[in-house]
Amino acid sequence: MTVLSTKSIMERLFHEDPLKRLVITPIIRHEAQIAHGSIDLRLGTEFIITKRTKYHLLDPMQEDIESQIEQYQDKIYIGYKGKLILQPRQFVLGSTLEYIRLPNDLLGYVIGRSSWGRVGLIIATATMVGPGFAGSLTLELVNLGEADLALYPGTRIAQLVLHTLDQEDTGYISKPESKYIGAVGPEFSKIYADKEWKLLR
Amino acid sequence: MMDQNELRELSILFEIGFLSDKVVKSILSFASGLLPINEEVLKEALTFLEMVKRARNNFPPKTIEEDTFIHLIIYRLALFAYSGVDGENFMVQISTMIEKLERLIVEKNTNDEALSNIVNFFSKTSKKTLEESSKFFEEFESCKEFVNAKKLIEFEMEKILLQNRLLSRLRSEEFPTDAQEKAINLLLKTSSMLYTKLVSLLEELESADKLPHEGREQLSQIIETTGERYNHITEIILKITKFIEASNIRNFPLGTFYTLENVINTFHKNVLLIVSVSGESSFSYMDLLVILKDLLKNALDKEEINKLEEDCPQCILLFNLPVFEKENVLLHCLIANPIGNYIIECYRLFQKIVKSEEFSKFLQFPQSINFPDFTENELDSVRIVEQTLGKIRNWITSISSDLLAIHTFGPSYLFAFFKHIFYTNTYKLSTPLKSRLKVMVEEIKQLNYTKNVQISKEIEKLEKYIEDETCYAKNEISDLIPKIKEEIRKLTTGKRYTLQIFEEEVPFLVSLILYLIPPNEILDFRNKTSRPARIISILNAGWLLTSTQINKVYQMLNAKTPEEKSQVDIKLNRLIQKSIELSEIHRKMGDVAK
Repeated sequence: MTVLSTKSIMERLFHEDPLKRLVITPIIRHEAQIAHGSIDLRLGTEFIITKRTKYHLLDPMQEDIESQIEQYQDKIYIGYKGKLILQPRQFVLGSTLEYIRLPNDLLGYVIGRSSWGRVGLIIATATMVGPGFAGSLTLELVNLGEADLALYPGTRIAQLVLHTLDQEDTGYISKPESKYIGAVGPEFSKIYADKEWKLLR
Repeated sequence: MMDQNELRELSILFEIGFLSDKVVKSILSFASGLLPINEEVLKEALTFLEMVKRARNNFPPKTIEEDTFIHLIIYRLALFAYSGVDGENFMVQISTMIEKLERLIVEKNTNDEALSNIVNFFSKTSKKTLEESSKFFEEFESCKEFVNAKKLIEFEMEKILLQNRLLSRLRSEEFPTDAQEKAINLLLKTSSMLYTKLVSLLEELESADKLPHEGREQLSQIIETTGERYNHITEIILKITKFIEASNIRNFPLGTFYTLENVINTFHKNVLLIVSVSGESSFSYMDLLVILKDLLKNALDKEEINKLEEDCPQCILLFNLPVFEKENVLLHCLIANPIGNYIIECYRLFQKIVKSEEFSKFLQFPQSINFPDFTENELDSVRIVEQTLGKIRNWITSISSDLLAIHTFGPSYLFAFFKHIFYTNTYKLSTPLKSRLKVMVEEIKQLNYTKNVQISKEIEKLEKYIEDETCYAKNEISDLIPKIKEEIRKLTTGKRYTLQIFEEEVPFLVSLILYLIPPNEILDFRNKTSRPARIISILNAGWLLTSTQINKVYQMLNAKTPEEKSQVDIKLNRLIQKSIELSEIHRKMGDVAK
């Protein structure tokens, strides 16, 4: 299992076979966005913010958890050149501007950029991207700093590091339990769709 | 909702019926013996009568000129006012009135008794016009319950204040551009002007206490009529406010806004755009400044109206999407139709196409008509001619807009048009469906899009559907089609979406969607570079895939049941929406990076 170099990333991005192609789109400037074995990812335009609701607890075992999650969170849109203010300790779901599709022999990790980290921004807590994944990556944004942070859609906020697998996986797209396939913005949590809840009930 | 044409008609009614505050009040006050009539009003009355004379002398019109339609409306209204006066010669009376008016203006004696029959004529015309506009505003009958003028004026003032509150609240909403803010400012300014006018009307009404009982009642009546007119205006402003409220960024896919912006900017750069949703089943547009100016022409002074334009020098266009289709981005290709209507209006295409066109061929009407003295029969003839001309105007506009849409949106417009009209059957059609389809199919073939095998197959299906096209006036209209095509080609030179672009981009984009990859970027495999796809290519790719290869996507995503297939359709729609947005951001950021 090796980490893909800049050259290998470029080769994969322009692979003529669509099934083997690494899709990260759009890449606005290849030379600025792909370097040192990683690809910079930009902040998207849709966000899910948390609301205060009558629910004091989110319990995946509850029957109406799906509607509770939707009432607890709200989707908002910040257009190009607009900004989102992230207050200290605030938690917001965002997504990458880029749509990503990994071929079945690649696996990725999303990590923060240190310049954002130094002002207190955490971008992801669930960082693994499975082989065959297709969609925009949801980012779990938290401001751990003491001052408000202005976030602008289109800015480079995260980076993706890619690894090869020792053999091809069956691929995320063909798995019936692939919950977030083809998402084009941040998605509400689908934690209730995990199979083990049935076993625990 | 009223469409642009209806609003225009309304403004014409206001204008030619002399329903301006000044003129109506002046005429009715004079008729009631309250005030002398002034020279300005007499000059306007003279212009009206001269137009009636010209329209009568040119009836039935032999050719269609720029102002033929307006002349016909004026003629009809004059006949309305005159109907019921049996056995008298209409034109002799009009000529007599013209002579008297000319003499009165020269002598500057505006209290002459000779005015009385002229004033009666205009009182009738004004009443008739008010009747027509009231019919038009049947839905706005709420003011009827107010029995006196004061209450009506106060009610209007209250309504304006409520509207202003709503408008101010809208400022904090999320909109795609600052067009909404400019529109809100414009409406707030208009409302405050109307409010000031209503305050002065109220003061005028209060001063009526000094008048004798009869005079007081007459003045109240006049002010009540004016109040009703303000009611119409505030209702329209409220409707526009509601559209702006519905144009919030959450209400429709931003991709549709970008599509609209891209196409309109090809023709006009300095235009502000608002996309909104309404309960209508059709796609429509309105030019905000034109509507406001038309509406206010008869309520505010020219200087006041000019001020509005000074404050908002840009054109603000408000496009409406049907609320039930607001998420269906592929169907939004139909926005090409109102775009076409707007462009056709801007470039006065109708006038260019029909200029000096022989009118008689559209109507089995004798070249010269000897009208009897009874104006009722004459009125019927005018109505027929007016309606025929209206129909021709609608047909030419529909066909021109369709052709313009084919040149700007490529085959995607034809796909969207056919699907929307054929399956929902809710489109308001003023021109026969098959005739429109036939013209579009011919144009697609002429532009060689049928070189693409899949497009060719779809066109074959359409041709089967339209082979029994019958249209009672197709011969007359078909004479005009080459002219329409020529004008559209001239208009779209250098602005077209071409077959070459289609071939360069669409097949590659279709191959991306097949693998659930958003079709927003064109890759250059040899040079390892990429560029954003054109928005219109994305729409064409979306249509081509959904029309011809959707089963492959269902298969890949293992969708078998109708529900599963519908989930895939939703996913694809979101993918296309996202692609349009991504290609636009890519283009804008790429331009900055350069």
